Amino acid sequence: MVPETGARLGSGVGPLVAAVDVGVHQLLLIGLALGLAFIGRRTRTRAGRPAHGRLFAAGVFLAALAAVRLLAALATWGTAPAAALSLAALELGGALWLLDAWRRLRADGALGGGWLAGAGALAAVAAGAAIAAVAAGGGGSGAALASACRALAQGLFLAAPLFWCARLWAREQREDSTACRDLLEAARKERDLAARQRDEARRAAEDVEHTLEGQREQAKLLARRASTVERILQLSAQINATRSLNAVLQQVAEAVRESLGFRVVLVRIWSPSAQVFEARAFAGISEEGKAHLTARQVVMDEYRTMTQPRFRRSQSYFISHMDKDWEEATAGGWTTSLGQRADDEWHEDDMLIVPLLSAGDEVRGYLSVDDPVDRRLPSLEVIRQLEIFASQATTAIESAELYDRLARNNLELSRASQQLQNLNELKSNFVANVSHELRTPLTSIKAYTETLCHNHAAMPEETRREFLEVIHAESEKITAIMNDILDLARGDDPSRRARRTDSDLCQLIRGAVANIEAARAEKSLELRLDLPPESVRLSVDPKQLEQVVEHLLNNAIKFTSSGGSIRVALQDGMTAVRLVVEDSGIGIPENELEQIFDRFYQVDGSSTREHGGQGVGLAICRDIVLWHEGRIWAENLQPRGARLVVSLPRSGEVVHRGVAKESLPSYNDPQEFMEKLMHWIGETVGVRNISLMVPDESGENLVIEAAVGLSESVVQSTRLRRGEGIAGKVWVSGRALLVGDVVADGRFGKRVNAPQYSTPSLLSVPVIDGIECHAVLNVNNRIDGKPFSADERLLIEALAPRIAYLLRRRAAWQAQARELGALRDTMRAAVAVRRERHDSWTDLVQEICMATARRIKLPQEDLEALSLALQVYDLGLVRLSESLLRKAAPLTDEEKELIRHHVHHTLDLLSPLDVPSKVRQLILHHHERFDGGGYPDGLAGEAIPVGARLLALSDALNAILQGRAWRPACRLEQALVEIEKHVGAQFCPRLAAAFLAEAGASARALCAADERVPDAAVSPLPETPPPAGEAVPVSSGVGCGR
Amino acid sequence: MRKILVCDDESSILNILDFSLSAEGYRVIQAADGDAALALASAEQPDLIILDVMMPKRSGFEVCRLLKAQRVTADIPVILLTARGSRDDRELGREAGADIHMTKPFSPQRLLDKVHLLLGVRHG
Repeated sequence: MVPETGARLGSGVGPLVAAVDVGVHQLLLIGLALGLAFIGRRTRTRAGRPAHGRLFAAGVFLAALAAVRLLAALATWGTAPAAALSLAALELGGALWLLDAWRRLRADGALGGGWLAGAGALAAVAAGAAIAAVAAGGGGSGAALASACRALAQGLFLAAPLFWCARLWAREQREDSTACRDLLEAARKERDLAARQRDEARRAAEDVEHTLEGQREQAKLLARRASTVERILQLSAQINATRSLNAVLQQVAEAVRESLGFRVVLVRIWSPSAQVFEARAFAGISEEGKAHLTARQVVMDEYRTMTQPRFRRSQSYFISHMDKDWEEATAGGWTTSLGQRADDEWHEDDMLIVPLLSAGDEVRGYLSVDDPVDRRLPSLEVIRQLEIFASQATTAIESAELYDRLARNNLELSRASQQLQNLNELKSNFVANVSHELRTPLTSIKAYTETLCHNHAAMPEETRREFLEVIHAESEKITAIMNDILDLARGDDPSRRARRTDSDLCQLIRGAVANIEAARAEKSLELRLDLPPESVRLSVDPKQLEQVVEHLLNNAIKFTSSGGSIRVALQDGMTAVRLVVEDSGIGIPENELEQIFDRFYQVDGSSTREHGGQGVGLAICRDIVLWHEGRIWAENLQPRGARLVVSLPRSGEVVHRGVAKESLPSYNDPQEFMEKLMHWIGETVGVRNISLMVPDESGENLVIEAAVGLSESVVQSTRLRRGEGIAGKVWVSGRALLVGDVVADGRFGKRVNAPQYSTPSLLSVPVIDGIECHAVLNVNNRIDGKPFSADERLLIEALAPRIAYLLRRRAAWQAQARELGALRDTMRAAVAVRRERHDSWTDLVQEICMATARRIKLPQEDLEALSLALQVYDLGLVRLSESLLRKAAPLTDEEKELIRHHVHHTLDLLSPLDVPSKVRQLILHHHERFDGGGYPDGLAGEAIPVGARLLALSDALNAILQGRAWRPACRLEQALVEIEKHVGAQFCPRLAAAFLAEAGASARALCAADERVPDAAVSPLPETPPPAGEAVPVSSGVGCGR
Repeated sequence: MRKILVCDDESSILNILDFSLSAEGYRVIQAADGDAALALASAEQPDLIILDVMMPKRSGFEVCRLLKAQRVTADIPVILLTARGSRDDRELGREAGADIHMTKPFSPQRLLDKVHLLLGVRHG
């Protein structure tokens, strides 16, 4: 059609233009086709890289061509506009299509169906142009038809390569998609790889984070360790500064708590004397816990069990609650409740023991901790730190010991030096005394022998004889002194103690008296012997005893000035014999009453030599008396004189009928009884653990009376309130309780590993007698391991009344034993009072008293009461101290009160004897005064029982006759005068008159029988009556009136 | 005849002194304790006094001091004859005014020498 158009355009140049137009047109089409082919080829050979730049160029070229053609068509407008327009449209469409293809290609790299659409569009446009040409041609149908066919052919020609191209593209597209898939696969792989790398990177980052965290922890740890070290340093400074061991241990405990983060710390120290580990310092423990831990003492065996090698960590020992031997290793204890814990956390039953070891690995104690703040099981690090603290504690203990020892040594040293000093003083005194005692006879001997030697020839025979006699006598003195000293030196020789024979003490005293006769005569002293008429036999060493009497007599002679008097008395009793030597000498200073029996001691060491001797006599006496298991003491007499008393025991062993001592059944041994009872129950029921709980004194708590299978600490410390625990509930309810499984039951809050439960079943039964519950019997741990059944419950319930009966019987036995004990004390007191105070005067006074009572016609019953009261009215004196009774100085108000109380002591001591109330009344009121000024009740006149009034008279007379520390002994006549003075005020006039009459009769009888009873009639002791006017109260053996 | 007062609580010593001094021609006056010695010294005015120290009631030191303190007896020489011979005792004797301190046990011969010496010095 194009040539047609050109032909129509040119008139002159028309054919040329048309030819050029057709030629160019054809060439362009060929070029386009070739270009497209080239693109297709290039595209195929370079798969994956679409040549869109070339498509663009082709599009631009086509567009330019279309523009040129449009211009040409416009230039020839009017000739063949339709054909030219159709061609221009065709070429413009092609260009648009190519540009669109390029755009698409650039946008997403794929052509897809665009090619087909483009080809279709080209074909459609060509067809359209052909139709238009036909329509425009109208007339010239042939040319128009030809032109139309040509246009169609051109359209097809143009479309064909495009279609081909499209196919190529499609194939390429397919290939591209395969490649893409490969690419995608590769990309996915790469993505996975990248993800992995990212993970790794994250992990690496986390690791870094961890490392950082770890370093931070490490830093914290180091800081903590630094503070621990600082604490330790502080601690050592404190230990050096503090000498009190307890304070230091407390500091260690606190430091462990603060620095190492254990809430509970306990320090136990080995006590070598008690052989136990004593709880000495606590941190974080309640008062109750402290009390428990203090009461619970750990013995070495328990410590060894806890520190078996397999528990060892570093130097310490960790016993996990999960260890199978936990129960055996940790014998009971105290722990805070920590609640539920995970397996890898610290459990309340875990134990960490850190021994306190001395340098020589000797165990000085241990430190145990509980409840770490961080709940962690202890690391080696923590254990090491604990050990450092432990070593501080050890240091503290050792230094405290050193201080102690030092202090003790100092004390001992000063004591020893004091002793040495005393000894030295005694020794110098002794040496001075002895040398003087030896010098005196030696001086004589030397002077006489020398004179004899010089004047031998000139001397008359008689003088020589005289001289020799003096020399002989003086050497005898030296021998005697040497013997004394030797006796003393041999004092501790046991061989001297075994020469006892049955001897007559009276005879022995007479022998000693004969020995000192010369010395007595020299000072013209009066000597009275007050010996029982019959012999007094005792198993003693007669030589030694004679020596004692001689020393006592020499002592009396030495300290009594010429013309004075000495009295020797022997008083016999069933359990003791008393030897008394009294003098009217200078007496003994109150503060030296004990010391005079010390070796080498001598009263008055001044240069005036009033009394000879070297101060060994009384020391020898004491030694000898002690070998005879006796006592010796000294008292002062008033107004002057001293009394030395030796009391020698008589064996008095009671022989029992038939039964040997060993075979007596020990029913009164409560422990053995309980043991048998427990064993019986245990065997009967077949259990390992039994505890018998009884109410305590308050009746509010149950305590364990006896138990089998429980540790001592549990027995000592268990205390259940009413309704508390299983036994407490049983006690309240009075009904037996059978529990199949304490742990599962949940009512009781029992721990599975509580040491007393090897099997969880238990039985608790009230021991009821009638309606009262006396005790609760708990049994558990059946030997066969089974839980208890109703059968056992029945069995124990059947046993319960038997147990109640036995307990009742036991209580009765114990009460009886107590009663017997009290009775024994009474007897002891009675014996002691008689031993110390009874003499021939006492008998005389009792006779006078009874005679008076008969004289005033006292009823028989009262007579009996009086006769008993006379024997026991001053028993209570044994409860007063000897120093108080012997005190000569005026008494303080307090001491008076003590003495007044002796009446009640007496009644108390008499209570087990069940004495009639009449007797008790007499004793109670025998210190009442007729004027109402006495004690204890201040009764007056006839209100005082008659017997008590008589008893008051007897007591007074006895005191005056015997003499007391604060008043001299008196003769009977004087005593009666003395009593008469107090009639009306102190004594009942009516009874006193009768009493004095009886006493006067006795005095006269004694005078008549002077020879028979020498001591009573004329007392050898100073006869000065108490100074008149001084209201010396006559009453009472114990000085109530002072 | 020179008079010598001897004082001791031991009779055997008194006797031997009496014997020895009498044998030398002195007249001997005996006293058994310090008080007697003081009384006799004033009354008898002896030429020499021999005193024991350890005596009842009054020690020889005290007697000596009293003798030297009263005018009538102050010039009479005193020999202390005593078992107490320590340095302190000698010092005590000197303070009391004794002329000679002689310790027991003593030699009668040496005592006589001292007696002769004291009386000779005094009168020669």
